[in-house]
Amino acid sequence: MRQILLLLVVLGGLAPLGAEAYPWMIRHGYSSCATCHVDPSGGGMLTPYGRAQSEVLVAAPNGKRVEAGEVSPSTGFFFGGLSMPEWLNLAMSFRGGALINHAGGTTAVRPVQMASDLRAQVSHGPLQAVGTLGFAIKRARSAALTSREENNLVAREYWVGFSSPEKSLLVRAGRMNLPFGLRNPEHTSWVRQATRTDTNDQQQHGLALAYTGERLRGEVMAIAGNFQIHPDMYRERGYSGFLEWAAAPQATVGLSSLVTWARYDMVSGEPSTVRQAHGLFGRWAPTGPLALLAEVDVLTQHSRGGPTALGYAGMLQADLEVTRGVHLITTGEVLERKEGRGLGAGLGAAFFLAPQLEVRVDGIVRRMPAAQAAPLVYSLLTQLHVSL
Amino acid sequence: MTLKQACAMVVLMALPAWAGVEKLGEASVRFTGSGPAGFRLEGKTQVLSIREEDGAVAFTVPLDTLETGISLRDRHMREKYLEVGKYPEATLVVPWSALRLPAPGQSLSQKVSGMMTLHGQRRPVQISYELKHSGDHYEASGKVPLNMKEFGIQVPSYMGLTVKPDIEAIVSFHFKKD
Repeated sequence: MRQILLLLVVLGGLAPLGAEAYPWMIRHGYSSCATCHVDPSGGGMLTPYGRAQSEVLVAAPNGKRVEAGEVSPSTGFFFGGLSMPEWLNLAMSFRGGALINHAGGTTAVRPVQMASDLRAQVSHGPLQAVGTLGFAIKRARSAALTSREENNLVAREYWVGFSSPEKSLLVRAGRMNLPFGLRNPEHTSWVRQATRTDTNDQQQHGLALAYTGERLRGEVMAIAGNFQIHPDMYRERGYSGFLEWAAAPQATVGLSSLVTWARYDMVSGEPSTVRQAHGLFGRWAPTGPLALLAEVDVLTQHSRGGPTALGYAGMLQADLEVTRGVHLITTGEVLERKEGRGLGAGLGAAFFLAPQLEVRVDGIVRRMPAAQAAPLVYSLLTQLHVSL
Repeated sequence: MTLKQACAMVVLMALPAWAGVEKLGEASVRFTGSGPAGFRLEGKTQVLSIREEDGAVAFTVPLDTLETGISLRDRHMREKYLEVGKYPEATLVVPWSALRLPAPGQSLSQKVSGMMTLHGQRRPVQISYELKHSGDHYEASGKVPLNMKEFGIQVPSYMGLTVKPDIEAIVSFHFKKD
């Protein structure tokens, strides 16, 4: 019974909680992320142009807006109620919902509060500074500024950067999302969890250089460690990066690489651990409403005195925009680790009821990697995401 | 043979290689633009008309048929920047004397000069084109670099994103020649 409860707690953190990054924007010819997101590799805070696209391309159409022929001011900060100078970009993001897990005859229901963050970007010419500050009732410990068991202040990202005049280059230093693979919103997907590159709390401090061209984009980051975890012996050092090429406006292929070393691995506690992840990913919109996203990563982990553990993680996702603002999402996942092979499948629906207002429902079934046959775990996640 | 027919024959025989061009099927007309941070923009239409005029061939695109994939952007493009109400067409005129046709089974590529009329402005442009003589028809494709400022078009800027003034128009179509 305790094992099952433990499993449920673990899976509670593994359900595909949302972030704000939509790789399926490739269907609209947006192969790069930097026009809509402050982070050149995608996700998180939107630029004013990105806010406009949330109404023009993402949200369900609204008769009044169409008639007006312009983006409504309400896409701005706080429904456009607070006008801001050009040098300041503010946003608030809330994500929360409910999670139902069923495994081994036991059902658990719990609320989930994923993010309640205030985000700010200050720009002056080529210089910019970005910071987020939020509150997490549970989890997100790796991004926490405080060290309580619950109710922590979290700072997921904060960095200063310098961009080239055409904004094709950005060098930045601070705490950032690791550039690796798809910047998919399901931060608990195995490709994100197994590579430790999710956007919930696995940012690291370091120095990064991003390039965004018309067909080629990429970012490489020298990882100095996550200075919000203590003590230092658990911090990882190394690099992470990706390169993505747009073969066509609606098709890209990319490769990623990550190598880190820590005196002690934060998860396993093993000494002198070298962790590697190398993989391929791609995005393709073969027809207007359909977008396919795929990623596969080879994983290795070696600790002093121990064998090298080999594994892989993969994800294939199809996002079908049935009509504007309504998406059906099917996902298949695989995770091979030394414990065994895990498989997962998901079926979800996302409703973009208004600009930056999303309701999403996901049904997931997973069999975790385990030496012995693990029970199937069924999850139902509902979430509301509002960005002001 | 009547005098009228004889005159017509003389005129036809005097026409250079591109006389009697008949476009086959739909054409592909695109323009591509770019902006900061990897922004790319593409507009498309399949509507292209070809006509002969005064020793030249004229390619005309009705600009209100251009689509970029985003309706609001299309509206801005047509109303604010191209002003299609006042300037409904873009026309490229190339003198026949500058054009060559490949022999059957052959291809050729060439650069020629032409006159582009866009947004009420008429300016010389350089055209790069390729022609392939395949079976009973020709496959043509060409590119024309354009600068919006030179044609008096306001450079598009929206929500902090400003498009570069240099764009490229790309046209491809199949045709038959008498």
